[in-house]
Amino acid sequence: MKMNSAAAKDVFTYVSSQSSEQRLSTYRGRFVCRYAYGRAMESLVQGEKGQDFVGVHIDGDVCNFVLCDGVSMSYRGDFAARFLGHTLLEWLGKTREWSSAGFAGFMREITVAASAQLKQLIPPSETPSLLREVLEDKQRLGSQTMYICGRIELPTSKRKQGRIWMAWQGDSRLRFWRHETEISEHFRGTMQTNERWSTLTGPVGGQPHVYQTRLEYGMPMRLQLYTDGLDDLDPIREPLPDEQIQVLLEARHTGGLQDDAAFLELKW
Amino acid sequence: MNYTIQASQRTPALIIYLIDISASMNMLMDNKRRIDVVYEALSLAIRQMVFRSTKGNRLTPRYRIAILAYSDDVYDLLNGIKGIDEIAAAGTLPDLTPKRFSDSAKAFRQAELILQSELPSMQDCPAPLVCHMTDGVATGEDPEPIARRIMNMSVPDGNVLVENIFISDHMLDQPILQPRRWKGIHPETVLQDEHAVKLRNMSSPLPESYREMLAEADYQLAPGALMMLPGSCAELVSIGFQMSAATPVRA
Repeated sequence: MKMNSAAAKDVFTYVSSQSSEQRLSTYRGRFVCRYAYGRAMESLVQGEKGQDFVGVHIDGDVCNFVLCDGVSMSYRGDFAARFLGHTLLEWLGKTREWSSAGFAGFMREITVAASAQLKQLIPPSETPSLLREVLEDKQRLGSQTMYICGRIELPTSKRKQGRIWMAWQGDSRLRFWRHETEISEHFRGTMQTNERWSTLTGPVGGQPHVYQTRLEYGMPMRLQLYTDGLDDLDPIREPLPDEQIQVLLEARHTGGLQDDAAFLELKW
Repeated sequence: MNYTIQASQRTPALIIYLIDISASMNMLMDNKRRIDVVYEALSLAIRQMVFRSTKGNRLTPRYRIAILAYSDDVYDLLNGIKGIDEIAAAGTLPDLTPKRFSDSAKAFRQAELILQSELPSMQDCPAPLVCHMTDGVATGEDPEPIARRIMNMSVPDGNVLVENIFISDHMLDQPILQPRRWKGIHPETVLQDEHAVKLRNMSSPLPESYREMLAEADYQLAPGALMMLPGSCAELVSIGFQMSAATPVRA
């Protein structure tokens, strides 16, 4: 879903659909936002939902964003990714409580609603008995997703110093450039595969990682987030043209994506 | 060559089970017949593969399996290689009925033939695994040369892995009191049984990726352990079958 309801006012929203692809596209306002979404070839062929999620909402000099990678080994990873994606996008737009403890508490609180919804997602009646038993076991253990979310408030004439706040758990990529120098080492060692959010217990594998820093006026920055389906981007430090990112999303060299892929890049 | 390719629908893992169904499998272990302990452990391993193969409500065929039971002859219980989705659809595994002798060489030779046929089309797949379960000395030809030939077969992900589960109470000088804390059999581990030494020679080193998967299930096998389990209790037999299904998959 894409909305540019008032271009003159610099308002833009994109929320991925898990049932269709989004070619690499760009929105240009105070932020330059590139976004894309693709499903694994396996899911495409079967007509299944993707298990990633990406959402962004820009309102002038403020941007909220969420990227999730549902855990396919858990029950209906697509659900956890979608639920958490929408919930965090809404929370980022209205919260005033930015402490690490406050965020961790919120991530636990929302498990009640998530678990209630997950309970309604029962396996189809025609499911073979062994598969049904396994799915029911998984359902009891909950649905899980990795995530990165954040909010950027750019410096303005009224607000001399801007701010970026981000939180994450899991191994999705979070990369940050100041001017043209990558400064992602702040996050190194914190992108752990065994960390995620669960509908059953909230944060798993430790507490959410939270990062916050001031943004200087006039300093060009680039923030890039993507799920592991696009891990071909890992060694690339330079900005890639749209067509080349699209080539990675189509992944013709491997007969299509091997895993779902969500991509979001913000420049200001 | 590091056993890191993930099992997926396009690059499924191949696991060949060789199950000894000689008469001694009627003997009791933990108040059950050995053959029943093995059947339960194999069923649990299949269930684990199903667990690791679901995406949404669908079972993706990330594993392909052959089950060869052997005694004087070899019995192909699945009539060829079957996808984990086909096995799950069938619901239960075929019965294992003990017979007479224990000609493991015949079983390894049939596994070798399967691998010779399959490997050319498995170049992008995880290295296949042969999981052999026995409770005694092999009758017939020596299986070790055939197992060695199998261990020398390879795909880019690594050499074919051979794992042995040896149901025996007398293999180690000390009993394993805490299977989850046990460090595994290593090349220098003292073995009390000549046949166990032979089986160790036929066992691949445990790949690090498998060791990590087992660690996630809280089994603390140490680096350098071999793919060999003493089946002195039902839990150790079960660990052995779980090891066979520890091919990396995408989380």
